[in-house]
Amino acid sequence: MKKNFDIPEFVVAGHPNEGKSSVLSTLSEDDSVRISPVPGETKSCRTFPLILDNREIMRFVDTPGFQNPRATLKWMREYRGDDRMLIPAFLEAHRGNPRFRDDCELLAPMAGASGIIFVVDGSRPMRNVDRAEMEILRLTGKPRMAVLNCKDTETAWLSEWQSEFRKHFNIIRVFNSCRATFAERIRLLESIKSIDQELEPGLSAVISALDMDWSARNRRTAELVVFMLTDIAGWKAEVRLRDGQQADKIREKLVARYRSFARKREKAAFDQIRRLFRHRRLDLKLPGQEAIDHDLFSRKTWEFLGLSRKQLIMAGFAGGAAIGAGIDLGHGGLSMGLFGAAGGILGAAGAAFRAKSLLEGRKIMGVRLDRETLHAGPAASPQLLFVLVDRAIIFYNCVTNWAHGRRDYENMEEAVEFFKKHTSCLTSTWSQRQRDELHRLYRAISEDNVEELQKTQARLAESLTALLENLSRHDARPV
Amino acid sequence: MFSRWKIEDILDLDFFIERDRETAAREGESALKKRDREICIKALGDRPEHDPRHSDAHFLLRLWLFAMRRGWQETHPGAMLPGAVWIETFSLLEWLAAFAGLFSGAALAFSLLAYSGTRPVNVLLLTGILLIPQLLILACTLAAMLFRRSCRMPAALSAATRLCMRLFRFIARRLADSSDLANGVEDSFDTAAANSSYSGMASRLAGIHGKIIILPFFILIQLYGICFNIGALAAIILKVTVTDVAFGWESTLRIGPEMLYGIVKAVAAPWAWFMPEGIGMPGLEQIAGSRMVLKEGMHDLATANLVSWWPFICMCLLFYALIPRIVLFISGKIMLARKLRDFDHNIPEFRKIIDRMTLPDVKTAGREPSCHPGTMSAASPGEPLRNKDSRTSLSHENSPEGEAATTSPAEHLSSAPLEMDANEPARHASDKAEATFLVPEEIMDSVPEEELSRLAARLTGSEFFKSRPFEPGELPEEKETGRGAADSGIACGRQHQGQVFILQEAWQPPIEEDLLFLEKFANLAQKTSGITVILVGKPSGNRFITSPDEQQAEVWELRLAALGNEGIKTLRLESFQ
Repeated sequence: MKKNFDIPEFVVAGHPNEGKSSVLSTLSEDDSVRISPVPGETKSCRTFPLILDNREIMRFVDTPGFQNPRATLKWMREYRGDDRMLIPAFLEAHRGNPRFRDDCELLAPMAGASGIIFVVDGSRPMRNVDRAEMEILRLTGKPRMAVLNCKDTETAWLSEWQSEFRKHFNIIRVFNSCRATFAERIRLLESIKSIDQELEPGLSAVISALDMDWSARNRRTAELVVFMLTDIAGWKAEVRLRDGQQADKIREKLVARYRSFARKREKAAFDQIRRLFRHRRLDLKLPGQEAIDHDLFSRKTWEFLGLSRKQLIMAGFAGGAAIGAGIDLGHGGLSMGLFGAAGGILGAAGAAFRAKSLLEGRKIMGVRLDRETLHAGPAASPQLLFVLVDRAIIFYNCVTNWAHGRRDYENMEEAVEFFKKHTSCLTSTWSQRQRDELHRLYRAISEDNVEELQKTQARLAESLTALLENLSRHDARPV
Repeated sequence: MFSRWKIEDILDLDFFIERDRETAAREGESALKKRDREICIKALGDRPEHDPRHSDAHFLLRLWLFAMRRGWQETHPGAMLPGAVWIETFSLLEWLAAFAGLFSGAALAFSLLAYSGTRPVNVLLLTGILLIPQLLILACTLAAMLFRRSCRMPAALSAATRLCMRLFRFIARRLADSSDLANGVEDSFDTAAANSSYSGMASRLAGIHGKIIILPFFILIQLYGICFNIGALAAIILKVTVTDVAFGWESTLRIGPEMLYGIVKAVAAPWAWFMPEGIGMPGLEQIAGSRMVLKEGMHDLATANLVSWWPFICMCLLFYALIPRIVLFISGKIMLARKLRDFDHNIPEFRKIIDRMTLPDVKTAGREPSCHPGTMSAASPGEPLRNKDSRTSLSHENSPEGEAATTSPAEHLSSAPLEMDANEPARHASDKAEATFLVPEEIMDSVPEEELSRLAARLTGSEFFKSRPFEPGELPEEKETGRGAADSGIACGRQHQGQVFILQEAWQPPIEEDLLFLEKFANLAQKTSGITVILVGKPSGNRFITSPDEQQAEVWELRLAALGNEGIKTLRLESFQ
């Protein structure tokens, strides 16, 4: 890391419990920040650097709240020294006084700061103590910006705040740290550019980088979803039934296996998406996966020598192909497999027509040749893909709209329900072209066509990326 | 740096991607991000996005591959990468195919040209064995290619492809085992990555890169075909040059020389324009003269007629076997070059690499808290719930304010922050007032009298009360003049055994100066009946006095309790109507 003492620094200050840490937590996508409804959680300054390719562009400093704003203001008003030495003089005068510890802690970084961001909870009335704090900040002589962080849905006091802010601040922004979307985070950063013109190039680079990073995350999410669809819809298993074994019991076991696999696979994909969006503490769970259960067992086939009819044909193909391949090699491989194909077709035809009649009911050394095998998967209907995509989109919407500064995890179910209702791009709203892409993927999975699967995966991922981009760049909605 | 992809590059790409998966699991994605971004910056400068090559995916992938290879060579000197194994393996296969083709072609031709002088070589048999299977195979090859294209059959399903891949895997593994590859790889992780890469690379590539991996084997087969025909041609020419070979034809069927001449003429059409009858093909007379009839013996056959066939046989091999193979060989090469040129970088694994290289590394996470220079390291007085001792020490702190706060309570009273115009009657002022409500000055006007009246009735049983404004936080010693409302309120309380209630908005977090104020004020009021802090909620609609939020009220209760001042009581206003 390059050491640079001229890095622009913005001090985030305000009354205790107004959401300063929450704003920074959301802005920096860092959910490790300690946030609590109990005031006084922040005791020491914490730096939030914006680092671009190992270069620190700027930094925010989270501070404790004012503890003695009236006394501080009184002291400052009575101060008669050099204005530029106001803060150092205050620190000097109150050094060692435990009562002013928080005030010193929060004022100390202001001495060298490029600007101050004053955070208030706009959902409460304004009091004199707030005016005192605004006046303290004015006396520091630093460029200032006000952020109205509404902690609840009350908006009755907003106009009073805004009107008062106009007297003290050049820039005012409403930013809900618990609801802010990516677009709002970017807009907040854009506003900071106006505080200091010199910051513009660096901040523009950061904003552009964040924007590209966001698009890359959306693309990666789309890919993760497509891989998940392929794995879950393409899951296959077969169990050979031994004499006396009941098919129903085995079937139940297979169902359980599939359910477990699908659940784990979906969770793995969701965990990756969650980590992609830097949520370490969010343990988001969607309701159950009933839709998956009905889709798995589409066929139960009688087989001979443990092979399905299709496999039997393939086995014949393989046998014939071996002969064909022999011919092929004998001629220097000049046929490019045609002999193999021809031999295979012949062998396969023989096997298909004759094997069943030859082996039915027969035993060799007491072992039945026509054993029953249960097959499961791949998914019998493309509908499963639609269900999985919808769930993934809802999950994505929850993850991207759950701000990092939000800590009311107990309300998660309610939030999930809300996002489920307000997710705009679920598959039911898709165009025919988009739906066809899912159908094509399903076909490629069912036919086990690797080349086609790759193409359809790429197309679907592209289409999903566009949807996610559109979805995530909307403004926050209240929950 | 190379300008086009080769098979070995794709194999190495696959190997490094596999290795990165392991690295990501061990060290996290951020390690890969850092490394790849550095590769990009090192090549394109500090602002790589300003370089036009920044958006060239092929260039970036190549750049990455070269950097990875360089890194590999530095950390694993002498170890071979899968690409190098491929080059060696394929080169070996090419030599094998060429040698086997030459040998088998020559051997077959020599065996068919065996001539003891008693009986000429049968032209129809020679041509039939050398040419007809090849023609059939050629036709089948073309038909198979057309069939695959029309059915869009995946290349991986082809039996020939599978066989070739199996052979390749076998040789590659053998080579890897015996070469420096295994010796050069030091730790078990790399060995595992290398092994998994070799064992799985062909099948993975067949899946990911489709026909790219198939075509080299197609070319290999054509090489065998070319060498086979060269071998056969060389054998014929050698045999004809150094030995005396006679060629004749015979048939049990009633095929006359005229009919055979017609067939030969048609067959020789491709070269007849430059090798006319008598040179490139036998004429009718020569065909008739080389016919073998068993009962008539061979003695009557003229030598000129018997040797007229060999140029025709050579030209047949050239035009119907060798040239088509050369054409297929060249087309295979062209197809491979085209496939490599159109090499699809739009697969997730490659995109991840490109993203890591092109996306700036943005870090926004906070650093661990540290005290800012200029602040002290004393224990925080701002802790949410302080104990009594800490609070006591606060009250008696050795600071100008602290000293003033504790030295002269009488002075505090005289300089109480609560002001009241002595001439101004309190609301509902009455000598019979049971309670005094101290209301923050800034909200005094907002609190409806009826609400206070109802509150008083509820708290004291009487609707009579006094209300006094006060400025919270202002310390008694900070007021210089006049006996304030508090003094009056306390006096009232003392005189009438009334209580002093302080309205506190619980949604405002308890801050130092408010707590200090309440503590000092309670010390004064202790002489009477102490103070009761009524916790109220946020104003709502027309109502000012509302129930506080439970959590916020609890914070205040705990904070005030932590003061340990018996003169302070708290009252949470529950569902006050």
